[in-house]
Amino acid sequence: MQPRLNQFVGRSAVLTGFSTVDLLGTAVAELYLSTLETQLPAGVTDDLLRVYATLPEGLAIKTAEHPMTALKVRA
Amino acid sequence: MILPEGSMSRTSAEAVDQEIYDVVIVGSGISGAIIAKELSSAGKRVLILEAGTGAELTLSGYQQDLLRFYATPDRDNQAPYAVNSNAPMPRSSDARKIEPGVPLTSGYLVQNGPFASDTTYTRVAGGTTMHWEAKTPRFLPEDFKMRSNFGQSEDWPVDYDELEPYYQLAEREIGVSANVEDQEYLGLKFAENYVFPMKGLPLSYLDQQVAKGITGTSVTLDDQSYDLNVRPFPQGRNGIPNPKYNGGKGYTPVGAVSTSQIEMGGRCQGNNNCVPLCPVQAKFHAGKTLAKAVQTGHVDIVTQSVAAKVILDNFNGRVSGIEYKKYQDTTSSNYTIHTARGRLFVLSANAIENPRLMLASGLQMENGLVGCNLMDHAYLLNWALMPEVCGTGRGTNCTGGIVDLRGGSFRSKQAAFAVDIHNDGWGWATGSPIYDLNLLVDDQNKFGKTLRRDLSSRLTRQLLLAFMIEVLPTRSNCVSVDPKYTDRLGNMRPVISYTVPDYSMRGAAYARQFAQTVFQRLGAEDHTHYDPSDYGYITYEGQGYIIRGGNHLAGTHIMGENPENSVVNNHQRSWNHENLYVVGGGSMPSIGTANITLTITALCIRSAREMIKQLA
Repeated sequence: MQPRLNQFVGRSAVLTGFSTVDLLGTAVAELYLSTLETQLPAGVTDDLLRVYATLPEGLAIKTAEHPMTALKVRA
Repeated sequence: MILPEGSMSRTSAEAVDQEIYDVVIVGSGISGAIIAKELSSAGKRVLILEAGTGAELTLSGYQQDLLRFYATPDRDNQAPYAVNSNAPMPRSSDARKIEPGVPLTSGYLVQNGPFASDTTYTRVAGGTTMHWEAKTPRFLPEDFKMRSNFGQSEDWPVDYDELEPYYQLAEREIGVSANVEDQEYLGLKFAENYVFPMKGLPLSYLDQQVAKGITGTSVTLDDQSYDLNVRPFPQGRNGIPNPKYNGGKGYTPVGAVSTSQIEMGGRCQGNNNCVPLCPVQAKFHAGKTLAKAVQTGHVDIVTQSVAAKVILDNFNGRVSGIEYKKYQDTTSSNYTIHTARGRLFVLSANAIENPRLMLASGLQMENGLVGCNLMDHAYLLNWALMPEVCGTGRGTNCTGGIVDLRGGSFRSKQAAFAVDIHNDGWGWATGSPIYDLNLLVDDQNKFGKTLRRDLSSRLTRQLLLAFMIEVLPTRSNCVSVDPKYTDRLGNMRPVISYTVPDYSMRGAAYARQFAQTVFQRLGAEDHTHYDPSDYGYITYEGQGYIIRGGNHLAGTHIMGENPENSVVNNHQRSWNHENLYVVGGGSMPSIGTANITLTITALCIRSAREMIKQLA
């Protein structure tokens, strides 16, 4: 999975309380990310994702390490 | 419903210049579409001038509108449509408080106030049915006789019994889903053995919970007691066809408009986001009627054509043509001027655009009534949290409501109202669900599962009661024009002056008490508050209220028995110009408590019959 999408899904998991598997299972993660980028002024999405990277340990979810996500990545 | 390929570009403005049509129609909303269909079915040659681009009438164009709506963060009911400065339209987001003596000019509508209205209409092919809610109640018999029954406004020059057969035809054209037994109240009568084309859509779970809570509740008004009930509204949405319809022949729902055969829109899917646009076109829009009209082969449509002037023959007062500006595209102000000629002319642009065009053309009457008596239902919103989850967010926007106070002797003193139960929660009142999200995130710092739980708890318990309050005609509530205010093509913009009459505010004050009674019976926590800084804030007898526009525009070319008290006769024909019909909500002498589209449709079918006679 692309690092940027990875960050977006991870951040969304924190905010919504759904697991990354749930979010990826909707198959609209990429569409939502692109919608966000289309709707927000340039740079705001980057800022949002950057904030995710600074979350304290335990809040940030390591998306790519999840077994279901890994399957998707391999596929 | 097939719209034949290329039908929107079958002719050109240059070709139209060379033709004399039987009928020239300005506007392709419900009124224009109905008249085009009726007349073309009778073999008459019809031209429709449409200010918009017509893109909405292809399936791909409709889908683009939907996507534009979905992708717009701050959505109003015009959000599906690309901005078109050549055919601008009012937006609810234009409304602002009006300082005395300083007109509000930032939107398309110029508003003198004192009341700042957020009313809208849609200038695209299909007109305001491209964003309507699609509730289709009939007017009550007593609504047609306001003067005789209540000493208020004027009686209509047609009554319920005369209009009843046309209501049946209107319900067929729109494709109404309802059960007669649910709609027989306050004197509403139906023909023997009549059934609606389709069976009624069910009440939502929220409706049912409200119904359960208010069972046995009655209110007293003007010494009369009214038992309260939740009734389903008749809907212009495709339901299950009633096999008993049309003497047992049944009814075939009309699905999505497309240039090729598709299976979509035959049944309402209960989408909660179907206003402004139904995702599958199961909700009626005038494009469906327009497609039927075009299929006759007798209808030409020219789009991107904004009517600019009604041209009169000075010798006999007849209309000889409609001058219109055909613009190149929406990004440019370049246009060419053309004239559409015909034997009859129909202005079916709506109750603001019709008088705007007439006044811009110098078509005022001696009685000065063109543009006067502008009416729009006054909406008072009341919102509360139900004690238990009620499934808010499920079902179409509004499936049921409390209509017991639509009629009664109290109307001699105060306005009647119908109450809508909104299945989409507090959105209209507060901007929910964004409002709730902001509240929980910004004010309470919630996120993750806690946020989801609390958000879900709030949103699924939200109850919004929208009171649609009667407004009577008032001469000073009016549409005018002023050469100071023009649009990009140089056409004069509508200027409105408007006050919510005391009669309506008495109804609003009672509505607020009524809502409190209902909330109390339901054990619901009242969250209603009216912010004095809001543009719609009105003080009445020491209390503050917020009034919203209903987009049910009417009254500006009122129909009547004689040219002294009206603009058009009971067939919506101009008293002054014998080959001009001015149709739509503007012809209504009063608006009662029914959404106006069904009655507009019935009136237009009736008028079309008269036009056919006149053309014979």
